Parts: sequence; C-alpha cells; structure tokens
Amino acid sequence: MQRSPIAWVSSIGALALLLACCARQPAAQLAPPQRIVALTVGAVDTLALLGELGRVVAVEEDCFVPGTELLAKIRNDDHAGPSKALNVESVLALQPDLVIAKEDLRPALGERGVNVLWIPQASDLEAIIGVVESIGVRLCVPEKSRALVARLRASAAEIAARVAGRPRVRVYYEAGRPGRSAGRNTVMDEMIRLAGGVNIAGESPLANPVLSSEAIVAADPEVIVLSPWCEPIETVVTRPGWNRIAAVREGRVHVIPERERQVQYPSPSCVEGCARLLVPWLHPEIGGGK
Amino acid sequence: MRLHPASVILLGLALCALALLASLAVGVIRVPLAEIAGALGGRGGDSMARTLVLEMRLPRGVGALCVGAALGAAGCLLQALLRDPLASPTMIGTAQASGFGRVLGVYLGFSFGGSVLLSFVMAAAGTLLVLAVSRSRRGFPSQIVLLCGINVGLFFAALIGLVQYASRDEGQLSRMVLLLLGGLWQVTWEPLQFIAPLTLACIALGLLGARRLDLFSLGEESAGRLGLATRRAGPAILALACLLTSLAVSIAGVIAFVGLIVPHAARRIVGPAHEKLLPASAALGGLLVLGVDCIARTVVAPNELPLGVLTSLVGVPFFLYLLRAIARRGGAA
Repeated sequence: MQRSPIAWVSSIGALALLLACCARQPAAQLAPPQRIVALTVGAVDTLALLGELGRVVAVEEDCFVPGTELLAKIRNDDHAGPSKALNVESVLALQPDLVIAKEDLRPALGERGVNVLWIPQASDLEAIIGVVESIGVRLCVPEKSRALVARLRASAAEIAARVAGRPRVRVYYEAGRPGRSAGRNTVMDEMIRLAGGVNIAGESPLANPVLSSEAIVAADPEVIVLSPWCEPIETVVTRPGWNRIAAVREGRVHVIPERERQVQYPSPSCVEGCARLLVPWLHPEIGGGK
Repeated sequence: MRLHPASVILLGLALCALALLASLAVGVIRVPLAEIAGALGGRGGDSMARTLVLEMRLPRGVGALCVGAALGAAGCLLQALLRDPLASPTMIGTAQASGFGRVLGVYLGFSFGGSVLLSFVMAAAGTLLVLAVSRSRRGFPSQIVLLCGINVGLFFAALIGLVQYASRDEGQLSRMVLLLLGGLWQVTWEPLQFIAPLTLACIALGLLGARRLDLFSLGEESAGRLGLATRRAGPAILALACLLTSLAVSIAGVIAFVGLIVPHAARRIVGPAHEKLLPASAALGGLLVLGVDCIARTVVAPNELPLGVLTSLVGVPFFLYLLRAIARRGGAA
C-alpha cells in the first residue's frame, strides 16, 4: 500500500515533535536549580561546603549548619529533635525547582510535580561521598563537588596517617538516652574507627543498639563520647558501677558540643569533626592537629 | 491451697528474697557464687564483683520487686473495688495518666520527687475521670468502666504524644521514650530509699483494709448493707492504687499487664480472700518483674530489651486467654 505525501509529512512531523519533546525533557531536568529545598542535614552541609547556600530557599527545621539561620524552615524528621511529619504543602508553597530528600519521603513527596533529587541514607564515608557527587552533578557544579570529595578523602587519609601505629582506644559513644549507641554500619562507628578507636557497640548489627549498663562496665571503655543531648557528665559518671570504667576514672568523658553535632551525622563535616574532636580525645598525645 | 494469711506473707517474702539472691548471679559478667557471698558479707574490698552485686544488680533487683509488688497490689485493689477481672492500672487508664505526669515532669524540668507527685496527681485525676463517667446507681458497671478506661488511656496517650512533640531536644525526648518503654536501667539506691518503704507501707495499709476489700468484692450495695462506709472506703482504696501505680511508674516507667495478670494468678493459688490475695499479688508481681528484668538484661546481651515491651509480650496472650475464658462463661465479666 502506497502512502500519500500528506501521510508522510504528518509522520515525519510527529516524529520530529516527539524527538523535540524528548530532547527538551533532559534539558529542563539539567537546568541549574535556583530555588532549592534541602530536607536532609547532610544535603544542607554539602550545599554549604560547595558554597551553594545562595540557591537554597528552605532547609530542614532543626538544621544547625551555619549560614542557614535566616532561611525558611521545613518540618521534617531528619534531625535529632522530636519527630515531626513533613508538611508537603509548605514545600510546594515555596515553589522550589529542586527538593533534596531521602528516599523515605518518596510516599509524601513523589508524584507531586516537584523535581526531587532522592538521596540514600548514608551509613559510611563512601556513601556520603556519593551524595556529594550526585548533588554536585544536579547543581551543575561537578568540579566543585570533585574538589570537595578530594578534600574529604585527603582529610580521612591524613587522620588515618596520624593515628597509624597507635594502640586502638576502646570507645563508648552514647546517643541521647542511656545505653543507646551506634552499631556497625553507622557513620559514628566509622568515625571512631577512623580516629583510631574501637567502638564497643561496633559488633552490633543494629544501627542504634541499647547496651546494658553491665555490658558497658564489662567493656571498660577508655574514652566515653556523649552526644549533646545526653545527661550531664556529672550524672553519667555517677551511674551505678561506672566508677570502675577507665574513662570515668581517668576523666576521659567528653561531650560533643552542640555546634559540632554534625560529627554524628552522615554529612561531609563529620570527617572534619572527627579530626577536630575525636582524634584529640582518643589520642591526647597527638593534640589538636593542625 | 489452704494457707494462713501470715504464712502467705512469710512465704512471699521468702520467695522474693530467694529470687533476689538468685538474680545477683544473672548478668552479662559472670560472678562466681563465692564472690557474690563475699560481696554481700562485706568482703571483697573494691572488687568488680562487689560493684556488680551491691551497686548494680542488688538495687535493680530491689527496684524490680518494688515495681512488681506495687503493680500487683494496685491491680488487686482495683479489681476488688470495681469487681472487674479486667481492671488494672493499664486497663483503666491509671498507668497512662501516671506516665503522662512523669513525662510532663521531665518536660517541665521537675525534680524526681516533684515528678512522682505529678505522676500521682495525674493517676488520681485519670482514675477519678473514669469513675465519675462510669458511675451508675448500681455502682460501676464493669463494661462501662473498661470502655471509659480505654478511652481515658487513649486520651493520656495523646497528651504524652503532645508533650513529646513539644520536647525541646533529643535528650529530653530520649528520657521520655525511656520512661514510656519501661525499664530499670538506672535504678539506684537513692530513689529506692523512699520508694521501697512507701511501697511496703501502701501494701500494709491495703492489708489492714483486707476485710473491706472482701466486702467491696460483693458489690458496692451489698458492702453498704453489711455496714461498710463505701463513700469513704472507695476513694481510700482508689488513692492507694493510684499511689502504688505512680510509685512503680516513677522508677520503671509504664510497665503494662503486670497489674492485670498477677492478681488472677494469685487468686488461683490462694483464693479470693484479700488478706491472702493482696500479699500474694504483691509477691507474685515482684517475682514476675524480677524474672522478666533478668531476661531483659541478658537475652540479647550485651544489648538490653525494654522491660515494658517484654511484660506486654507476656501480658497480651494472657489477656486474650482471659477474654476467651470470660466469653466461654457467657460474656459476664
């Protein structure tokens, strides 16, 4: 069957239109976003370190990254405070051209006509680096993200070199309530290991195991690291039987300062925090480093 | 089993003492019996065994006995007062109300004593609310009391959620969560110095009113006809149950189902007379919480399970069994 010229022209036109649409789609997606809503602390930290906070219009409510004080705050669950559900309308009202969120917000944010960069829950340095790279690509600043990744790797290597050959220090990290710690495959576990320590909860497959008091006494940690929300040191050191723990006897119980809390989070700053806090706490003979 | 009331008390005390001694050998770190005996006898100097036994396991064991005894006795008192086999501090909302008071105390930054007082006030308010709503001319119909209790429990659970939502930081939130999960992680001699004697005093007071509890078990009208001043005795029994619940909540948080299960088990052993049932409920409650706590701190060692979660795992099947038994008897509670 022979086709008429009109049919040929129509077919070619439809094909051209289809190709044009397909070509337009990635171009729109790759346009550098200018109104970003960042709903994870790690993403905000990455944006700050990339020097791209100027494009951000809102951050997670409890965000502590310097430079975000005047930005709009969105209630979310990605912080240390009380659980608060995401109010999707407050995100949409800001008319963002990019939202950076963790996968667990997909049911709330997916299919809402918002351009979302989904990032995984990072549980180690490599995953954090992956997040930095994907944000760099999406913001069209791959060279900046490559530089940040190189800096992170160099810092980690420098810490490893500083503590190399030194005896490993037993560390108990308390995350909030008594006994709650960080298990295997958590950023805190990796940072303790990077700083030349052995996390006494590091064998636990749980992300947040709750150790019994006796187990902590039995492990006899040489250093205790408390998150900013733990009980005061004076209370912690007077817990029953804790006077037997080496860290308590030798006064090596430390609290992560509120402004440095990112050391506990899956964010690029955790490496710097590790160098500034954990290394001197675990190896006071090294000092604060440079 | 025919036992003299004094024998029940002595047997209960002896069993609790034996269980407490046995619990001293249970833990993450193995302590030989000779070292436990040495620590209890004042020997051992500054040894690890002495620390474990005297500073960690003994106060925790005593705390478990106090919590279990308080909840067992409170359940027994409430079941007698309301003539309802399903009455317990959790089922009629008293425990949740008490838990709310404790959580609110954390939020407001109250001292330990202030939190216990607030916990008691809330427990009393919650229970009075249930009784005020469900009271009829014929006393307290059990089904209405139970439904009111469930609703008041839900109401206080919502208030707990509200306080948690408003908590200022993770530390405060964590302390609230710890309280609500229930556990004896941090029991020390300091609060026990007044919690233990108060618990014993409340149980002794309840024992003094054992005959009144027997009369209440016959129904409020019958008790009145037999000469009991129900208008005075009722609130007194209720206040005692509330105080016992808030004492338990103050050191261990919300521990569910102990107050429901234990009086039933005790009734099967010593019968319905409260001069035996009340001490038996207290002793069995203590033994149950002590046993469950030993499991909680060793079964997933070096981790620890929340005590309240374990008692619920035990309590829910028992509760279903109880409901099934009631249904088989024709639906009458």
